[in-house]
Amino acid sequence: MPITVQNLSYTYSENTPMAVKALENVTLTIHEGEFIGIIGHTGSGKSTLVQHLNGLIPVQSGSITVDDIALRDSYPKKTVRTRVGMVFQYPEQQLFEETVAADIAFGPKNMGLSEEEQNRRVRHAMELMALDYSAIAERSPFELSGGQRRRVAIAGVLAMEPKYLILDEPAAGLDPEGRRLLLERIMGLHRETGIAVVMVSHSMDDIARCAQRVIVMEKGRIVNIGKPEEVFADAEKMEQLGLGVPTMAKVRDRLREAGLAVAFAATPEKMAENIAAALKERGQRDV
Amino acid sequence: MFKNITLGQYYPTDSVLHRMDPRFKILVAISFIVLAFLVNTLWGYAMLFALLITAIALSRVPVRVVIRGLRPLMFIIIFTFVLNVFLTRGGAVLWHWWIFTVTETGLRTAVLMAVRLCLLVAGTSLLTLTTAPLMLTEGLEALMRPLAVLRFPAHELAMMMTIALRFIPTLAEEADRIRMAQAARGADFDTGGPIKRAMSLVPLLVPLFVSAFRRAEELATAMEARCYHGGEGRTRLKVLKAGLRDYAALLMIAAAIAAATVGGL
Repeated sequence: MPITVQNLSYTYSENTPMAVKALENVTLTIHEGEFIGIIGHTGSGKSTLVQHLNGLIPVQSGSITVDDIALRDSYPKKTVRTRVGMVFQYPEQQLFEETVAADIAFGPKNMGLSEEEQNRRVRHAMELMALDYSAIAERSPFELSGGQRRRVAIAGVLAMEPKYLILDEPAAGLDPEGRRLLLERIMGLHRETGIAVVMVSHSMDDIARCAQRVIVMEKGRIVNIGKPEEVFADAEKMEQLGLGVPTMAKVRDRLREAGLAVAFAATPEKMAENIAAALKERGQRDV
Repeated sequence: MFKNITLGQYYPTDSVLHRMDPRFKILVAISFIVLAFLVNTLWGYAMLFALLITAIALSRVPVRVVIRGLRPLMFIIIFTFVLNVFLTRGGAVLWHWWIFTVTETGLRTAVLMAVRLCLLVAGTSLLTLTTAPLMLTEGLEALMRPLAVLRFPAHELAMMMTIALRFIPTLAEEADRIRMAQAARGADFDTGGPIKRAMSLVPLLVPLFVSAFRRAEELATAMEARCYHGGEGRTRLKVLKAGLRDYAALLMIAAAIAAATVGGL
């Protein structure tokens, strides 16, 4: 069953002079096993939206259901938080335990699982995040590199074995290589486990590469939603929102200007195939 | 949870008192405290009261806001009142029951003491109500500067206060974020006995300390990169300048002190 969000609105500091509208009438369905990318400016409501999905922000108006649980009145909070895993920005800043293994076990421990099960989950989560158990499980998280620490923090959420994984700017502040590795791991995770992923990002390229469906947010509203090639087809609209388009969409537009109609693809490799196909077609036509 | 912290109790508006030089305001406030301990007669109290009412009127701070400032100290005020009523003896006995005796002197001392405390608290909170925290530290630094002769680190203290004030909202925001992140991993901060609750703060406090130290280090580097080397030879963008109203206020409080000591109020 999916997560459904209906007519969700949220105002910070409601009923005070400092009130700020963060979300307005957002309606959205997140299906099982899906990879959704959310893009938008700072202050567009992305983070507020995703923090609603596991009940960290209580619903003010509208409704949210996670599978069959409606997030209102008294609902089983822990069940929802287990089902919807949330990774905040710079998650490595929330590490606190003495060892990597203990930190990853924090979530499973709060779920009241047996020690054996905790151990199994720690190992499994580390494996999923490509962390070497025998090498770092007993080390302090503060001794690790930045990229490793971030993967430990994500493993800490994965150890709760959620059905949905929400990532808020997972690659922020990493170097290009770390960024590429992390995104590849997240895509691998999605492929291998069938977990649904909701990824919030500023980077058009990252979203274009990973997401099956893209949501564009602006001033608390969803202004566009669709497959990456659909959303990025309208470069002008994206520019108007001040968001820009992925590099490959720029390549496509420049080629079009030069007289070659090419279909959009998110990765350079796929784009090269498309260009080859387009050239081939033109060659046949000319002959 | 942490977002609603208010810093000090500054009440932002525009008034003569708000525009006063913080150095003079601090001096006047200290003098007012001294004065509250000097006066002993009803006329003296009347004078204190008149001074306070004038100051409140000039400050444009609503009276209920000033009175709200008394609330946290209500317990101490009532406590001293009760102690004074029953423990001070002298004069005619007004009421007696078992071991409790209330005398004329006792009641008089108790009432005057309670009034004195209220005036004290209201007077000092008027200072923090009309002075922004940063101006307050600036004023303190200027007043403590002569103590540098005694190797008293006036500038350093003021700088520490300024930095602390600057980072309270930042840390509060960060605490909020970490709390949410741990809650997302099933942490529970609100249930269980006192020990369990205290333990549940560990996942919040450790990351908060780590980030506070990191911030401190970054700030130190940033300050050094801009050639900060302590207070020596440092000039200010906005130099505090005393005006007519500042001297007038000081003169007034000095006159009141003279009246209390020489005039015997």
